[in-house]
Amino acid sequence: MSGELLDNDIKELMDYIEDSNFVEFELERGGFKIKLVKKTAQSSNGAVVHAAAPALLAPAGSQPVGEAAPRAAAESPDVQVVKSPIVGTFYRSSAPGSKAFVEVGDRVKKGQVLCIVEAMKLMNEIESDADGEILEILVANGQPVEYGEPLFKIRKSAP
Amino acid sequence: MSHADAAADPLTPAALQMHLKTAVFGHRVYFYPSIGSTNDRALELAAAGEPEGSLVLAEQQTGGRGRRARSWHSPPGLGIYASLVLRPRVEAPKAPLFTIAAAVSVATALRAGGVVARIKWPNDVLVGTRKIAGILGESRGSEPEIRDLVIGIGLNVHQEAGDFPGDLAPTATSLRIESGAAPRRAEILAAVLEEFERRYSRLLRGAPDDLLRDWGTLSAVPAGGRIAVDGPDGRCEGELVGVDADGALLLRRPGGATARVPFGEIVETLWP
Repeated sequence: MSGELLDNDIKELMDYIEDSNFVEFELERGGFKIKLVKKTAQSSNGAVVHAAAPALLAPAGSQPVGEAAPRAAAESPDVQVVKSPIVGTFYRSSAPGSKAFVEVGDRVKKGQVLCIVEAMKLMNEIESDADGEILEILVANGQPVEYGEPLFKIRKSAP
Repeated sequence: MSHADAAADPLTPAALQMHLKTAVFGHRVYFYPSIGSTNDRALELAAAGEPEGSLVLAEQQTGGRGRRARSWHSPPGLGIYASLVLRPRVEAPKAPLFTIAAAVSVATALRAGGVVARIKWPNDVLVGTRKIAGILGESRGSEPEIRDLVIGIGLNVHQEAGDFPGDLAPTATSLRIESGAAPRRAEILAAVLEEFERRYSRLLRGAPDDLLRDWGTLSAVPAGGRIAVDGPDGRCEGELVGVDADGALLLRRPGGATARVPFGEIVETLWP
């Protein structure tokens, strides 16, 4: 990157911060300023909980925001976001022409396969880690996905 | 000829045991005279708690698979069709290295037997420009770690030119065609498992350097060779620089910039 932060760089930064022990991260470059604040209160096995993602704050010049504003603030806490664990190609079915693993509105069980993300001829079957209902499928079949990119929204069933 | 060959060159659990030098890989074997897909069976076993190192072995696959519903031609007795159950506790982005390790292990074992095998990124095993073996990795888990990993290996051994169906004939080869000798399947599989187990343990210890170096050495396209890759951003042409620590391909673009292709397929070799 040549001085200028691209969307992908920001996303990489966010993933990096999320995995690190940093709670806050600030960077100023050229006319651009970014501050990432991790919401640490969410500490359960929340790697896939959207609210645990770092919040992306405003560019330079605008008012710094004091509190982390989780991206999924509008979602209720029973909505789980399944993210891609790997850079690869997103597939909704096991093979071209075969039935999709899941559709919007389907009820899924913990452990049920939701999709495949392929990288280097390794087919990663991604499982749901909760019982619930598919609310949204966020990526089209055959599209490349980034590490950490949201793939599904699932409304978790009441335990 | 196929059944005569199977009798003359048995690949049964007992035959494999005679040659096996591994600590764990291949000591538990599920053997099938005929099965749909060894990978499917291995995934089922893995889901049911099968320990690491167990091998599914078949004389014939009726639904042998490559990636995305491509088939792997698996006639009885002519090839090696095997799938290994693994349980590396690694994060998903590291998992493709295991399929690369499998490809390097197959190529290394074939070279030890005098067949000059090379690897086309990411993990096709070629002799010259023809494919002799394919690797299909399948993993399962919820992020961030993978839980079950199955590595399937399909290796053409006894086929003669006329044994390949028409669409494969121009692009496939076998050990018999390449070596002219009568290869022993059990010996070859034992050698592949030994090599793979060694590389697998090194990867688990966090040491991918020698794997990546060997992969580069075995590359079917030499550094500087011009290729076209179909990657996440579409077609990309350039000179091969090498691979990075995650197995991504590095290309020098015509303007001099380096492009990193995290996954994809080499669709064309433009030079040499």
